[in-house]
Amino acid sequence: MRLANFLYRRAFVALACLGIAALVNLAAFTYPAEAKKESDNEAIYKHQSAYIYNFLSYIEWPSLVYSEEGIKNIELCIIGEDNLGKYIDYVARKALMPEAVNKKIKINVRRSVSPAEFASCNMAYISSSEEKNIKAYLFELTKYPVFTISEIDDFADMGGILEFDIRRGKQRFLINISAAKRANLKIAAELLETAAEVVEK
Amino acid sequence: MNFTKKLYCLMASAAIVTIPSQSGAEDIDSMMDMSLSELMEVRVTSVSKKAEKATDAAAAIFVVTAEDIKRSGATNIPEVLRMAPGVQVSRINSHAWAISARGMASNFSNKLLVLVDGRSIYNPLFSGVLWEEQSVPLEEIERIEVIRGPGATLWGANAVNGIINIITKHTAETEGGVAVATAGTFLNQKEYLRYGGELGESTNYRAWSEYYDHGGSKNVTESEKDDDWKMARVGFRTDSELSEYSSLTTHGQVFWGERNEPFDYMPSLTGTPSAAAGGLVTPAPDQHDISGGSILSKYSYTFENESELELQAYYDFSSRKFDILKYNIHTLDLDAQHAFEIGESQEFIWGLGYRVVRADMEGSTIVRFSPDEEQETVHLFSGFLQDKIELVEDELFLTLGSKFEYNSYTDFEVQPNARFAWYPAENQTVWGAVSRAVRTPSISERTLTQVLTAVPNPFAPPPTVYTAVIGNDDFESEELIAYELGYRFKAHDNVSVDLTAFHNDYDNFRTLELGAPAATDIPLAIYVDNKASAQASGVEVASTWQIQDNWSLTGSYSYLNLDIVMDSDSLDSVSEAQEEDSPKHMLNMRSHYEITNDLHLDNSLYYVDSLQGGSVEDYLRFDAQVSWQAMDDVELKLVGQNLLDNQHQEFGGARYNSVSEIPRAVYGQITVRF
Repeated sequence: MRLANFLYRRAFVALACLGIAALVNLAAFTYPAEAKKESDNEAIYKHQSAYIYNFLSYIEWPSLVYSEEGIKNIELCIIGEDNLGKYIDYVARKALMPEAVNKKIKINVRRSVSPAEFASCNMAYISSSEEKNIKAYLFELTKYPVFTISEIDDFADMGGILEFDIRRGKQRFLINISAAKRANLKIAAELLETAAEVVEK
Repeated sequence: MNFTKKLYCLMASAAIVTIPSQSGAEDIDSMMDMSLSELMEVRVTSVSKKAEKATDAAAAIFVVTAEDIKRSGATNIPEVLRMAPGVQVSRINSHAWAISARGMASNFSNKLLVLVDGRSIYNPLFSGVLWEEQSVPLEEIERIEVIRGPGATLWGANAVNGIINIITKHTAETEGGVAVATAGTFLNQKEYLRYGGELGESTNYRAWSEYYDHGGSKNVTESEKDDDWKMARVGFRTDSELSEYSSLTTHGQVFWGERNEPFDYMPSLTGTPSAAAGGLVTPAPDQHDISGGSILSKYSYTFENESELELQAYYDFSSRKFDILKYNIHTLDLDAQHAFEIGESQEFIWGLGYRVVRADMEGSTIVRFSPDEEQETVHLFSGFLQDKIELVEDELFLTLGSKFEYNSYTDFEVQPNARFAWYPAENQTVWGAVSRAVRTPSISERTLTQVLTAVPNPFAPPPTVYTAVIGNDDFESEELIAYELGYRFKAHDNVSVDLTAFHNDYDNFRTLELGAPAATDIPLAIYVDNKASAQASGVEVASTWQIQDNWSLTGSYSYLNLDIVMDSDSLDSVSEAQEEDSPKHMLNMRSHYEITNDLHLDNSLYYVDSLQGGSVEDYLRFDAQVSWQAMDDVELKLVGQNLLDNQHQEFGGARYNSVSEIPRAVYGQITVRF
């Protein structure tokens, strides 16, 4: 009996406290609280998106010129699952101004791109979901001056231009310089210097 | 509900200022401003990716992550363990805890093996863990694996009721500096400082130090007890990638400190403190001087055929000095393990180990080692094998294994176990196990004499000892056969449930018998023997519910039924009461709520049933914590513990003389990264 009373009092107090805590928390919830929870994967793709934005300064597409308004549009084709998601969209909203305010480079993200449209791509990001089809895609893409990027293992060895790789928690990249030459793309020395490995295949 | 309680509630519910949160794309903004070389330095994943997920394991395992530790508000390892299902954490006083899984907790809980990065911190002299002495700062810990049930096969003897495996962070994860300062009531202060970096291309290091100053617990009269303690620790860790196939890790630590006692005593095996009761020693405060250190190295090598070899060696030293006893313990441990695949469906692992423990003891009239020896050395040779067989591809696995040991006390011990794991669907696991485990005798059980009462000798000192607990050369290992069954499932992607049921059959349970096994001049000698058996059964349920992106609830409940039965020829009248040293019911619930990206609220509720037939009352404990990421590199935290109670007792009761109560406490903490 005494025990039940004791429990009742304590439990009531505790539940009341939790109840108040919950109510205040719920009230706070009406503010747009963004979850800070980030899975490992999100960190990887956020980082890749930032890298891609950075790469723009170091790649030269000979056939790409500034439009009359001073904008150069880089068509980035996402092939396969959309891993880069909202991060690449965020990056695409910002323009890079490498030389002057009136000379902007902008990424235009295109998803669900079919092989027939590959000719219109400047950059292609091949998702890890497409591992089975990678050779077929590369066969098509290497016909055009496309800067190919992927995190699939051995992508650079297979003829892709830039491969993302994670070693000891940090993400670095490999560049296949011969593939870039075949695609008629010029890569600045700084990008080659910071690459973890430069491959000639 | 009176005013002060309402106030605590409001403090606990502190959603004070809700800062309008920034969108999650803010991080990418800063990354877009980085140069190529800065982007190369960003860490995107944790360094070591574990192959087997805890949810696939054929064991009752609960993982406490570094995040869980931060959110619990705990300031030391024993307090962190409260959240694990089925684990009893009863704080005895300021510096001692009775911790065990599935019952059998005492001041020296001898059926729980505790490892820090592979080094055992189980004290071989008393069979138990001295938590104020053997520890690691919380900020060093990557995760704690709490496994209930015998894990005898891989870890060896004394992993009877469970194993606690404390794993520290890889040095590559802790580059840079961190300073943490904590101040409060009960915990007086704690400071932690560490710095980590790279040594060349392939090695990372970390050096750390911690100073811990803890106040005393309370007497029943609410005055402070003289059982406060201070410990300082300094340590390091290095990880080297020697090549693509091999790595070497080294950990080292040195510690020193002191702990106060209100009077000179040592908990004896009967539960009553020795000697002070007998008028042998005037009750006076005493101080324990504690020091020690350890160094451990582990080398891993992966062969061409993908098999893995691990070699480990460690040396551990600990020393304690107080009025009635001085001791030093040296431990040297060497281990080798080799894991390889046989065909497509079997994973085999085998190992060999050698450990030598040397204890140098200098006793006194109250505590001494018989037969008046000052040194005891124990050797342990062990080997194990385990085969995991895939019976049905990806669905049904059977693991068979055994550990074989030879130790100087009880010769050969064999600990076999069999377990199965069945994955009927993507999000479900069913597992079961039958295992045998042993708890080998401690040095004290074999050789220690602890005086309980004495009469002064009018003719010449020393006093004549009247009652004492004495060690027994024939004391055997305690044995356990455990049967376990478990089921885990994940529903709706955001709810997971883990259920376990177990039944433990103990034999050769330790008892205290009257009369001496060998001639002795002590009129009333009580010696340790193995004349009892025991049965324990129960269930454990743990669950996690991700209610929303920014709010999660975790909880667990456990039920234990423990029965100790004396053999018919036993004269022991005190050991049976041990079955009431563990609570029947334990419940905990934790809520984690992110008010904004930078402001988090964590609440925990614990319920522990009564002990000793009610002489230790059941209690409900409520902790609340507010943490605020004030700036990029600065985090502030305010924690309230035991908010519902002014103070309460968690262990002891009718069988124990000294009663300590654990008070309500508050502390503030600031963490700075540089």
